[in-house]
Amino acid sequence: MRSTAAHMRLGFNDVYVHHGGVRHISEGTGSTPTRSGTAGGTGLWTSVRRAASATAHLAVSAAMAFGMWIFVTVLEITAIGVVTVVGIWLLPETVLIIRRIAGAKRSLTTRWTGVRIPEAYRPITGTMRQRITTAVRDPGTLMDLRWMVAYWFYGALLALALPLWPVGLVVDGVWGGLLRRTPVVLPLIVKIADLEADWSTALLKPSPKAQLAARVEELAATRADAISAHGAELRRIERDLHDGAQANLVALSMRIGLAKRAYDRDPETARKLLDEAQAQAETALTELRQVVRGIHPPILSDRGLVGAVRALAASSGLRVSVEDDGLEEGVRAPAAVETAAYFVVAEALTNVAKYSGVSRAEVRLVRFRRGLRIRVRDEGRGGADEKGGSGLLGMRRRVAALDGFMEVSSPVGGPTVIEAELPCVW
Amino acid sequence: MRVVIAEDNVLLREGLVLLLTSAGHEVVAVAGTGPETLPALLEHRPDAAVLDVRMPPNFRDEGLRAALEARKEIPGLPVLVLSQYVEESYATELLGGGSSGVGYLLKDRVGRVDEFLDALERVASGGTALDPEVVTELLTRRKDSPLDSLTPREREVLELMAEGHDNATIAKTLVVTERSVHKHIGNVFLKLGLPPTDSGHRRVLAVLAHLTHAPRA
Repeated sequence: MRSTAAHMRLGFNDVYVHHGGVRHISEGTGSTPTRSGTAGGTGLWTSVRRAASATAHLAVSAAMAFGMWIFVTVLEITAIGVVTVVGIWLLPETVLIIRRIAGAKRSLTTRWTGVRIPEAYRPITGTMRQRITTAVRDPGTLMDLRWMVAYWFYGALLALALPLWPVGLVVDGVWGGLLRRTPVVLPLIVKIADLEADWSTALLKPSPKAQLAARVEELAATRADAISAHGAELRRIERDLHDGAQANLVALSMRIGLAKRAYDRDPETARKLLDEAQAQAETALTELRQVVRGIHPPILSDRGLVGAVRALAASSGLRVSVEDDGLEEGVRAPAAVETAAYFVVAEALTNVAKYSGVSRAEVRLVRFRRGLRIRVRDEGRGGADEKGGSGLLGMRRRVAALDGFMEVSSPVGGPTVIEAELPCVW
Repeated sequence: MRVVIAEDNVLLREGLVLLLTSAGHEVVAVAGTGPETLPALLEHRPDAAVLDVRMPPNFRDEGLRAALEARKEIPGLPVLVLSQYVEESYATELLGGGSSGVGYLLKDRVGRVDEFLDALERVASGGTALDPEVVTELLTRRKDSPLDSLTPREREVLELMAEGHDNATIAKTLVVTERSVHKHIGNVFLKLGLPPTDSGHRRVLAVLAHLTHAPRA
């Protein structure tokens, strides 16, 4: 869940990161906590354990609420300060702190329920005036304040849970322990924690409007990324063609010209020049081939995504199992999606070969209603680091440019799972 | 010999016809699309076929499929497949679909007229002609294989062997005697754990089978 943590952290700051915020990956991305109150098992011991973790949850919540009581005092001082104009400069900073607190509460709640609560704030940037305007106008601010007021009251639910312990231990000790009936009191503590989490979820979830606004913002950003990536790509291709094939063709033409001049008086030199010219032509062709491969892997056109990925797997030097689901002959994703998927798999397999220390990998390509899911998994040593220059960043950009999202799970000791989703219409 | 050509690019097609006729071969049919290719091959049963991988109508791998189909109908039909780029899996498919008379070269190689004609003749006579790039891919992708124990010279010999050359050509290319080529080949076979075979394409196939099917590290 490392990437989730990274996401949350970014969410606190002003960088707007939304990837994966709304969508939920449930498969293979590590320890998704299950809602304790709904899990099976009715033994006394289980009840005690669950009640204990529910109490822990409530205790942290209560501690947080306590912290907030103090904070709200500071908030009031700021509010008074705002009225007296002096403190207005503090306003954006205060809103940022509120966001931070709300974010902490979101991840706390997520830890209990296992369901992510999306976050949608407008970035506070620009001049002081703009920052203040955004801080005041952002619907998220009002929502957070609403939650804070509510939390002022329900944050102390721990007080309800604690007295239940002695009662519960006695009652359920007899009822559940001796009479072997289903414990009744201790599960109530779990219910209280569930209730607390439900309220928090409801209060901290951005309004549909705010979510929509955030989505627009995200799309604008990825679109700008895509355009600039596209521009950079075009420049790279131009440079490759210019420095490579074109330069070679100029030199080739020159050699043929020289050979023509030498043809009558010095056939030996002419022959040598023609030999060189041919070598030059071959170099130009090789370079053109490389450029083409970089733009669009030819095998994708020939064989489609599954065929291309199988060829990739065969030539990777690894034992790769390729599974596909719903990508039967004839069904093709848009070319851009196929190309991105191909490069993600290629890059991931390169990483497996380079860093994992194992020679096996699994590739899964799944077609679902609204897109294509790619998953590459290996049982290697893990510890893949996005900053390590392992190409993960490039993959992420490629995927983000198509409004997709990618998650990397690579705990030290493995396994490494790279999962990407690319939205498309089939 | 009688040759069928399948190539959609007019310039290249005419170039190939010119090249082959000037070398004394007879071009009995030319095809410009995928669907035309298979009937032409089956009707003329040429001594060799030169096929482009990618052709109309879909510009995918029509030529390769036609080659595989035709060889199913006429086992051992010599086909030389030309491609704008090499793809290891295509080579594996071609070699898997029958034993002898298979060639797979980059289109660029047509420029080296003598070598190209030589490759075509080798294919026509039941040999193999694999592009050096394919061979390089086959040789480089494996880790920890017995290939690592080969000396650089033995590796060169193996590469040339996999491309489909005979001892004399290998000796000439590497500027060594045929005797030492023979010795190197013996070592290569020993190190790869292949049964010693006599010269000719059978040993090429043994090498290729080893490269394409050997378990990967």
